[in-house]
Amino acid sequence: MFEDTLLAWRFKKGSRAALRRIYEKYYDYLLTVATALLHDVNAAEDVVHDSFLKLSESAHLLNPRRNLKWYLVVCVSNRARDALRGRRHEGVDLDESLSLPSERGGPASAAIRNEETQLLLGALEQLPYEQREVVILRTRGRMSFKAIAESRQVSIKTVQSRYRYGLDKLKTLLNGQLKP
Amino acid sequence: MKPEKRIEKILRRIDVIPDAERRRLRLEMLLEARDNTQKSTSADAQPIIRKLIMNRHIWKVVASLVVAATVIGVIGIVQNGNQAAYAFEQTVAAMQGKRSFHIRTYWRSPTWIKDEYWAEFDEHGQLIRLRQAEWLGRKAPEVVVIWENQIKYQYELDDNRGEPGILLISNKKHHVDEEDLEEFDPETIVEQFNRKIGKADATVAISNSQTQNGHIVVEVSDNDRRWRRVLRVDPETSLVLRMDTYVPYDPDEDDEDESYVEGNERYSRGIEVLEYNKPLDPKLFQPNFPSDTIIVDQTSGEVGMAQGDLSDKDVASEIVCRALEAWAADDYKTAGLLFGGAPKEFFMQRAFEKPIGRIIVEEPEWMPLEPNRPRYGVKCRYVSERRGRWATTRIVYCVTTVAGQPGRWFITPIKL
Repeated sequence: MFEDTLLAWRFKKGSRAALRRIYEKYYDYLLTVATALLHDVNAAEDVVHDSFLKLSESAHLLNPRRNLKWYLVVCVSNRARDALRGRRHEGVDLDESLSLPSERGGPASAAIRNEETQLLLGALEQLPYEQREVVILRTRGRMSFKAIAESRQVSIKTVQSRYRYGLDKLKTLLNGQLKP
Repeated sequence: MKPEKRIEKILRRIDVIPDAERRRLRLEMLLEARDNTQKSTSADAQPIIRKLIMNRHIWKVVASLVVAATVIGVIGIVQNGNQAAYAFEQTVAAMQGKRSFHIRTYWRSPTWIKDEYWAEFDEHGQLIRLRQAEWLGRKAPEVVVIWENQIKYQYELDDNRGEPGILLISNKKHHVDEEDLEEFDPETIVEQFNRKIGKADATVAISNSQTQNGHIVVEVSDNDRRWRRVLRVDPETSLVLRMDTYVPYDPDEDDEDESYVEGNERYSRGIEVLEYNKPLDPKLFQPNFPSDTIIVDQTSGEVGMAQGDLSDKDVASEIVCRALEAWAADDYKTAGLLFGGAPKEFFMQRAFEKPIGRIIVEEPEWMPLEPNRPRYGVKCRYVSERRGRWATTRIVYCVTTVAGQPGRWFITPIKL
C-alpha cells in the first residue's frame, strides 16, 4: 500500500519513472480484468492503454490517499463499458446478430491460460454488464462491496444483489461443466 | 466444493498472459505520449519537497537523523562488501571470456520456464549463432529462433490451435534480440553486480554453510531493497549455476496467484546456466522443423510492396487493403507477396478469417519494433464465414519493412 501512495504522489509530481512503475505493476492485472469484462483481448488491450493514457493526462486528478489499484480498475471498468457501447454502435452496419468476437487476436495477441477460464469467460459474456462488472471487480479485481458501490454510485445492497444474481446465473449457464 | 465457490475461485485466478512485446511497445507509446504532454519532471519536484521538509523544525531533525542513519548504514554495507568480495571476485573472473552458453530463464516461479538460449560467441564476444526457444507459459516452446550467417529462422507454433507452425526466413545482419540476450547473459549480469557492489549500490553476502548440492550461495541485494538475487556458484569452477531474483511482496497489492511467494518476497525471474563455455551440438543451429511447416521465405526474392511516394502510415493502410482484397478475390499470389512471401497454404489454414464482405481498415497505429525499423498495427474489421455462419472478424495486422529489401513493406505473418 505504501509503495502505491508514494507512486501516486511521485506521479502527481510528474515522475516518468513512477508512471512506468505503475504500468509495470498493474498492466497484467488490468488486462485480465478488461479481458474478463470484454471477452476480447485486443479490445481489452486498447481499454487498458486508453486508461493509462487518461491517467497520464490527468495526473492532477489523482488522489494519492485513495487506493491506486482500485482507482485504476474502476477506470478500466468505465472504459470497458464505453467500449461495449461503442461496439454495439459500430455493429449497426453489419449483421449484429451474426457478430462474434474474433477467435484470434491477430499475429500479436495475449494468451488466456486454460479451458476452464475460457469457458467461464464465455459464460460471463452472457451476464448483463452490471452483474458481470460486479462479479469481476469483486473476484479478480479484489474490490470490497463498499468500494464497488461507491465507484458505481449505488447502494451496497444493490451491489451485493448484482453479485449474487451474477453468480447464480453463471452456475446455471455452466451447469456442471466445471470440474468440482 | 459448492459450484458458486468453485466459480469464485476460478474467477480469482483468471490470468491473461500479455504478449511481452506488445506490452513493452504499449509502454513505450504511453511514455512517449506522456513526454509530449508533460513538462515537469520528478527532478523539478525535488526543490519543492526540500522546501516542504525544511519549513518545519521537526522535519529538519528527522531529516538529520535519516542522513546520519544512512551514513552508518553505508559504512556497514561497505564493510560487509569488503568481507565478501574475495569469493565473488573469483566468480567475476571465472565468468569472463564467454564463448558459449546454454541457459534457461524462469519467471514468476522458480519452475516456470520462460525460454531457453544456446549461444556461441567469437573471441571478441560477438555473437556467432544462437538458438532461442520461447515457452511463453505453455507446456512446449511456441517460438523457436535460429540465427546464423545473417539469416534468421523464426518458427512459431500455437499448440492450442492445432495448426501447422509457420517459419519465417529473413535476412538479419544482427540478431534482433541482442539487447534482450544481453539481459540474460550470465557474464554481463555478474559484471553488473560487481559494478553495483563497487559503487555501494548493492551488498554481497556469502553463506557460511553450503547447500545440499554443495553449491556456494551468494546473495546480492539492492541497497534500496528493490530486489535480492540469489546466486548458486560451483565451488570448484566458481561459475554461476543459477540466479534467482526476488522482490518485496505486498499482500495488499500483489496477487498471490501470479507469482511464487516466499515470506515477504515474491519470485520475479531467474536464470539457470546449464552449460558455460562448452561445445554446443551443431544440430541445434540447423533449421529442422516439422514437415507440415508453412514456410515464408524472404531471402529468395522480392516480397511485400514498394513504398513509392506513400508515407509510412499510408503504405501500412494500403498494403493491408490490397492484401485483404486480393485474399477475398482468391488471388493468393498477390496476397502471399503482401504477407511477406506466404504460400497459399497459409491462407487455407485461415479460411475462417478470409474476407467475404465489407472491409473496414482503421488508421495505422505506431508500434515500433526495434531501432530504425518502423512497424504499424492496422486494425481491421470485416465479414468472414465461420462454421457456416457469417461473423465479424476483428484483427490487428502488423506491417513493417522487409529486412534486406530497402523501401519494401509487408504484413507480418507471425509475431516478429
